[in-house]
Amino acid sequence: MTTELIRQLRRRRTLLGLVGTAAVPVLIAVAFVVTGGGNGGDDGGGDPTGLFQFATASGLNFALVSVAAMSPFLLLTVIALFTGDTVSSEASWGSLRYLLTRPVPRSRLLRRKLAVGVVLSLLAVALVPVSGAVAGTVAFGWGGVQTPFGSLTPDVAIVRLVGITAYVAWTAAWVAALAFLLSTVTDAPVGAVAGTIVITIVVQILDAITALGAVREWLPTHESVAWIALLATPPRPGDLTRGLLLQIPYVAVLLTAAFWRFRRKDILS
Amino acid sequence: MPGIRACPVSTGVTVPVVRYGNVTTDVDRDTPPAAAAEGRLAVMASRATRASVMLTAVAVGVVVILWTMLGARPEPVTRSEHRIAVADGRLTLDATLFVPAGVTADVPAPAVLMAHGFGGSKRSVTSDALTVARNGYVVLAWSARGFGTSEGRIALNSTDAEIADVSSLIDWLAERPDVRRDRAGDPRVGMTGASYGGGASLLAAAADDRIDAIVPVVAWHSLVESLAPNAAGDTPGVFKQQWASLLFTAGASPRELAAARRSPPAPARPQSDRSVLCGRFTREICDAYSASAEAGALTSEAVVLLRRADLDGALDRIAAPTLLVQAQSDTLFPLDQSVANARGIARAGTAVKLVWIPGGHAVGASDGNIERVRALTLNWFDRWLRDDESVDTGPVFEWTDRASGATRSGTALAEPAGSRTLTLSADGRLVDGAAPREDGPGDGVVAWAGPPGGEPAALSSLPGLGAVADALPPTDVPGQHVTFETSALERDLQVLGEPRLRVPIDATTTDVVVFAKLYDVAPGGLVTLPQQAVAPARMRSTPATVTLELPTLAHRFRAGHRVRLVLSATDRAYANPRAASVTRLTAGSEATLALPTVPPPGGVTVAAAVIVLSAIALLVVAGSAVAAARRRAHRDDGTPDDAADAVVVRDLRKAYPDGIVAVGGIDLRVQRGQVFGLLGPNGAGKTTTLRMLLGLITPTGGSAELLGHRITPGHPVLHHVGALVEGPGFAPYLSGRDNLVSYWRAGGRPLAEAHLDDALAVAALGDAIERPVRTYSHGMRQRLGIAQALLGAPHLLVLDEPTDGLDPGQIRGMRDLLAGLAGGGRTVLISSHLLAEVEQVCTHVAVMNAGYVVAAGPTAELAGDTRSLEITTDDRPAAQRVLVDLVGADHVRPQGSGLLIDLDGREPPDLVDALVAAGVRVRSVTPRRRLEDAFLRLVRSDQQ
Repeated sequence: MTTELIRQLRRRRTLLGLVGTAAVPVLIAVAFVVTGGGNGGDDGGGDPTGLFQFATASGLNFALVSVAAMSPFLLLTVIALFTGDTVSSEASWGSLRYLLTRPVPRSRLLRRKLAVGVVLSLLAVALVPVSGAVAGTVAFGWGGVQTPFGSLTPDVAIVRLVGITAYVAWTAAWVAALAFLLSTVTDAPVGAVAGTIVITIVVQILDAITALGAVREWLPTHESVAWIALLATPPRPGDLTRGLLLQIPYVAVLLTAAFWRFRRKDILS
Repeated sequence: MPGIRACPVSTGVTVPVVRYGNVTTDVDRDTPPAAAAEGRLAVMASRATRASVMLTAVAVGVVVILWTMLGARPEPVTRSEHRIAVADGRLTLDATLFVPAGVTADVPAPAVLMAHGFGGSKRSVTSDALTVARNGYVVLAWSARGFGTSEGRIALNSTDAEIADVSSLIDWLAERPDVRRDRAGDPRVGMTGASYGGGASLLAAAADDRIDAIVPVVAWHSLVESLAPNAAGDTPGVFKQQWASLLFTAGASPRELAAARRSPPAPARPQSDRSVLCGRFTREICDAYSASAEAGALTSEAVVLLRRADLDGALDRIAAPTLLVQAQSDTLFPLDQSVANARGIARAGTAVKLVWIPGGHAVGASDGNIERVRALTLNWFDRWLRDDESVDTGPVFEWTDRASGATRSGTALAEPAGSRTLTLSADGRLVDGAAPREDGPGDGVVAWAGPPGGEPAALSSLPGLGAVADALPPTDVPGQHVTFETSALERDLQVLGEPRLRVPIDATTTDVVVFAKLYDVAPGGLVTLPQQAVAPARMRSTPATVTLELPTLAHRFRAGHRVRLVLSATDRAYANPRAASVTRLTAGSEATLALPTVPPPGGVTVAAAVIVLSAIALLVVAGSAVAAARRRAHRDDGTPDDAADAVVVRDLRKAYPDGIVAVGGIDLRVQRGQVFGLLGPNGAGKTTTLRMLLGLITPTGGSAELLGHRITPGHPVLHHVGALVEGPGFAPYLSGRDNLVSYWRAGGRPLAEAHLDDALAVAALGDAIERPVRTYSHGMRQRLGIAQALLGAPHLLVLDEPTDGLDPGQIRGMRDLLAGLAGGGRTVLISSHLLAEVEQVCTHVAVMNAGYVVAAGPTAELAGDTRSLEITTDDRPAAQRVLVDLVGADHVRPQGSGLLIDLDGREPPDLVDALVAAGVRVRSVTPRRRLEDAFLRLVRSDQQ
């Protein structure tokens, strides 16, 4: 496990992924500073959470905006990279067959790979608010958080931010599970990562089609912005609980499929 | 109406299709068996003919069907106007009979009595009547007493008046030969109608057992309860002034009558004062209404009159299967009326179904209601009048979740599944739970005033506004009401049933009137009154703790919304008390509101599904953990069995799902200390075999044992096996050393066991061992791969093309290495296509071709089988001529400066003799014992 983690951390791709994730909030902060704050322009409709207008209110506000901005797609991509690349990269290097004849039992290999992928994904998710808070504080100063529901003191806001980050991480669990499944199916890491991203986009598009009615409620992305309720006072857990539960069947099915498939697979790579 | 259900027209269409199907079958059957015996061409020709006949027939059939369908018109329904004598011939009623085409005395049809609503006439149900008639029923629509051009006066569905008329109509239908009869005088007949007609249906079904099915729509259970509801008891409560006056006006000056009077210029008749005031109501009803309206409460006379149309005592006499349709926002005959009817009929053991549709008392005012009710009605009649048991009438109870617009259903009649009790707190909160808590309800008294004269009054509902009223925010007069409100709901609260409010009340007057309502308060503050439902209560003895039955609700309070209970002194729709009053309510633990609930849609089902799925997932995980533990317990630790052969393969097979057989069933045995060569052309199955030996590929048959252990994927005995399969595989960004260390650590064994330095010495990479593998040449990777295979001094080495990419010097080194390993007791299994290498290194060889082992044995033996000679002479062309003559051109080919001759059964001296005899000088004769020849011969003969 540690060996594997170190092995992954030494990869340039891993480091680039993490550094890139951390750099995006800094870039956004720089953009806000250069353009003199975001309150002037039109909101362009790209802000479903109503948080962007408060982006420059404080460092914590900016951290919140960073999470809001990156959670729908960029973070999912990074997570897909970290989990979709796990098994398929070994297959593409030709080292998978040697690990399996080392021997490392197949389920143990998968568990290890999955654990490391999850740790890296969590690291990436956690980097966003941290980097956002640091960049935001440097650019806009320390202070409480302004939300569409009112304002929060810094200490309350930090707790909420941690909760939101955890929720965002958990609602990406299905993406990680999907990428992991694809990783065991294909020998091409690019295929697993790109396939995951394509499916994620398709699901998000489906989720945006209101004509689908109740079907949408079952899509794993449906409650992905439900964390906004954590900003209310007091926080309302209604949709959050649903969002948390909604991931379980997807994760269970996808991971079961991954293990089931890999344990029986003929290793031809 | 078309589209809701199949009409008889389509039945007519399907008949030719069925016949057409028979025709084609017959064609098949008629084909003489002899045709099969004829030549193939003839069969094909006859098939072609038959195909074209069939195609033509299909085309004709399609055209016929299309023509029939396109040409189909709704079947004409014959209408006839009748005046039917009732009440022993004293009165005649105006009626229209609708007879669908095709219904005759020979083909009689069930009949349906179509009653109209209050203020209407037979004309207002024409469209409904036509719809039912088009579906094959004889329909009789009539104007009830006092309506349209029927004679008589309105007696409000009195048993001895309007309801007796219905029996006369049934008598009349029984005389008609085109109406199906159960027995003489008893036609097969159903009855339907809305509101007044719905009440008539129920009362008629109770009075006349010849009625076989009824569909009362928005009917009442008790007119007294409906017009003077009392949430606090059974006594007449607060007069529903606005509705009552609306109905009275509709009866006193029926629009139909006015229209009828306008069309023919009738001579003006002198009208008495009474007829101006009462229109066509009976005198007693007119008097009772007038007295009640003036008094602001139902008089005892009025109560007696209205009780005649009460269903309380009548329901147990209804034997006709009943479909009750009620509108959820009906403020005249609210939902509880339908529940009382449904339960009463069900108690009598009669089939009953209850459907709640959206909208108000004017059913047709809401989108889709007319179509839905017609479909339900026809379904019900098809089931019970035609006795068509294939008709599915659906669940016993259906209602509409207006929050989503979805229809929900239940197996019981409006039975709540649970209850949520809230306590009224003096500070205006509605608190969860019945018992007081620390932060719970505060005790205390709240009070509100009843204004003198009953004005101004709260506005909550107005009759006739229908769906529009739902959108109007209700208003309450300050000081004349109190509110209690929950906090924002955490999840959806689906109320279904009759909420009960239990409160201690005291008042300054003896006649206390309270209007109780439940508001739905949206997060933005928008207030709505679900179903416009108001519960007026009249209490005559206070102080007392009273229980108020609030209106039956089917309403979902969404998460984030609040439930607000309002108690008001007045309501504009009712006759408010005119005396000033002050009412006091003691809030606290004694004051509770119990909301009957069912699980909201979606939320709970999603949660339940999630829980179920999660449980399944957990079970799977637990199961596989147990299985894994069991496997571990039974798994041997993979210690090599020194007595066993290194490799034993029995009938090993691998066939892929796409049908490709990579290995067709091979047997191999490699003993300890052997260097065993697996030879074969590309695609022979060598690599697949090695992968199966290593547990990378699951065989489809047979078994493989390594070092005495039967191989399964990841078997621990593999710890003692070093492998190089299809080239090395390394993480390109790690150095050679790190790759080996990482590989070894992945197996969970201490690094000291790896003998890393020995392996690195074999790799002989020098300083390059610290560089990332992506900078390595092919040969360097190959050497690193061999070093990896040697890690941990394995008992068995499985090497696939080990010399690939090595230079001659390294190949020689490799040869020495393998020999040394074999000398040290290790076993080596090599696959290769470089025969020279194998011949030099291997002690034993197996030759594979196309998935099978075609030969196996010691290298020397296998190679020695070959019988060929290499002959060098002074004159090669001459020698070639001689030898070709002797052994044939196929067996002679130039080799270097000499010739290579395949002996093919001849002895070498014969050849030499022949050459010498021909004068060719023989310089050398060398027997060829090369493996290559053996290999080629084996492979070639195998292919032939």
